[in-house]
Amino acid sequence: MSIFGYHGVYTTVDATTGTSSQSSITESTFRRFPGGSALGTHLLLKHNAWQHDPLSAESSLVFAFSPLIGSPLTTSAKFAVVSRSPLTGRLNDSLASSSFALAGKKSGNDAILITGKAESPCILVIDDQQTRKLPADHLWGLSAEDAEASLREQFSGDHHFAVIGSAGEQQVAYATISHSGRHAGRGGSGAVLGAKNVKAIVVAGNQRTQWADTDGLVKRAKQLSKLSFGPATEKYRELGTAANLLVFNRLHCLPTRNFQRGSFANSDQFSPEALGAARDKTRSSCAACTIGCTHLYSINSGTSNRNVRIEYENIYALGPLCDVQDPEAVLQASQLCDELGIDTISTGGTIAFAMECVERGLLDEPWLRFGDGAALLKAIHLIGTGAGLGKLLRLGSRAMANIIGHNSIAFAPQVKGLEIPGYEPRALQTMALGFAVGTRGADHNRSGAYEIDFSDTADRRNGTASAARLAVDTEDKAAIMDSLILCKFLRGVFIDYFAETAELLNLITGWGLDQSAMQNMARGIIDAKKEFNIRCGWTPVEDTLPQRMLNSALQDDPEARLDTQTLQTMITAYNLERGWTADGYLDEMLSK
Amino acid sequence: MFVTIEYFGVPRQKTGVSSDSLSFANSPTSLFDVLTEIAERHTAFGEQCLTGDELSRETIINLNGDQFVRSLDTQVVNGDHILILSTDAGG
Repeated sequence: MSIFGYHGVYTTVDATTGTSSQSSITESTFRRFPGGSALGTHLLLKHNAWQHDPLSAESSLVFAFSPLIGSPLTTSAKFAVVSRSPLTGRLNDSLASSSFALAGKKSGNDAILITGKAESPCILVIDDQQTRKLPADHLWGLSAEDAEASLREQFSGDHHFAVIGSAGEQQVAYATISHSGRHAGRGGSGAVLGAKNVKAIVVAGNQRTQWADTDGLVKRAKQLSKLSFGPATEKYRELGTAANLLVFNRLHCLPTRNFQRGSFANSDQFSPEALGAARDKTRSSCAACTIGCTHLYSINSGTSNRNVRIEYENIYALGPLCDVQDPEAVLQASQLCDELGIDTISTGGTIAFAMECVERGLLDEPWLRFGDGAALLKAIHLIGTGAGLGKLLRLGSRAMANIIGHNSIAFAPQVKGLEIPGYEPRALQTMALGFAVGTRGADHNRSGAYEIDFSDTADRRNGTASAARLAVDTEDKAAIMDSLILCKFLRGVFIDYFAETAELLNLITGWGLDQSAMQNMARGIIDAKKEFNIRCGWTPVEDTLPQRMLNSALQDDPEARLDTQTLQTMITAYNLERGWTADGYLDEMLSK
Repeated sequence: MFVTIEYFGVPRQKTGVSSDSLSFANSPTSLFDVLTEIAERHTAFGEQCLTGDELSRETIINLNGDQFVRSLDTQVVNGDHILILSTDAGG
């Protein structure tokens, strides 16, 4: 019997042989792990993926779809890529939006699990015909964009592609998976695919799922689309996330010069207004999205005629964090990251860390100086080629620090190996907690704890146990968004979040869930992620921040100081609120 | 008394200025009075800033770069800086 919103199956493709098999997923599983990050995590646990080196043939990588994909609900064309991360060794779930999600679900699968390792470069095709492995030597070495263009000529217009760039092929620890200019960006899922010699996953199909209440769904979808044109999403539409930069700078929470400062001298030049005044600007949307948050800016030098997508995080990581004050260099660096297929946050964080190592005499690379845009671009090129310093940079800041020694790990800007996004933990202490306990490391998309810091419910520079309990709620909401899946930029339109997301899921599935059921579902998803990490070898000492950020004030804001005891008090409060032991273990493993 | 208003994001776009300096006869003055004055100066932003007698969901206010406030009864004194931001970070 079919399940509304689902096909009820996932396909496992073995890249070694090119063979595939289909397995069923029960409704009771979907009720706990409805899609996206949740379903991917569940399948990794089921396949014991925690046992394997993420870059080994035995590792698993899941493309997980969701019940909302293909529905008229705005921003629902999203998928998750879930695997053990080569950067952190822990769970990694990256999300992205594109027609790949729509085509992947129409292939008749709720998820596609890739395992094995091809002998030579290949693509894996999952469509209405038999799943097959095709040679891809002609694509190897191409950028993701060029490879996608070549695949578009090879296949029909119904096929869509998730592709790695050269960085993924070379197993750069923070390589992305790209599709239509979007990236499943963090944690190195591109390297996992590259280690399997898989250049691209190709999907197509005509299989649709049924909805429990089509009329109600269409009506609600229209309401949601209308709200998505309203003030709750206006910042994203009109300015893009780059609008955060001036605010963060004013509040001294814009990490600068490898987290040595919280403000940046040339921030005005990076505002959307200034960028827009100095160059051509266009806007675009992801598939099935009515918000249209993507702001692209022209690059004024060089030979490229492509516009580059600019977000707060890539400006922050490639600009202030490296103290590079030239917008042109930052835009070029961002474009180069896209071409290679590497995560901009980890790229900027790792290079900023290397710049400080040079400054301290720990690395003999005198050309790599804070503030030098040409050096930034050279370093990214080296990451792409693996030559010279690139061999170290492509490992990420934690692994670099472990090689360099001299306690450089104290200022490596990472948690669990994942480089920290653009939120200064000392000035945003609830977010500091979110970073410390995050299952995929320092991450602003799995914890929205900054929302607590930016509210009157907490003192952002004095973290407390009560703020920690509020942080749990933001993480629960993100877990639901990442599993239904909806874009987080839509979250502001919901008044009663869990009740309204329950309604959306009910319209699709007919399950009759309520607010409480959604909250329990969120808790179960976070528990499953934690279980995966525990099975990988997680211990409580991982839930912390770099030593630099503890027990000393931010240079340009003496009131921004986070001591170890305060952070630990918040972590304990967080763990207990989750129903875990005080030090963060589950009372019992779910998957036993 | 004088207070400085700093606009960021959508509020800056709607007002068309990055800051205002406003004078008030009384010190302290309530945040409601300050926002009412801003709404009169910048109609397009004013429509969005206040929902009746309350701060709209989409507007965030910070006092002097320190605490965030939502209560419109918050008292503002001479020399204060009021930062008006769009909601939501991320990306």
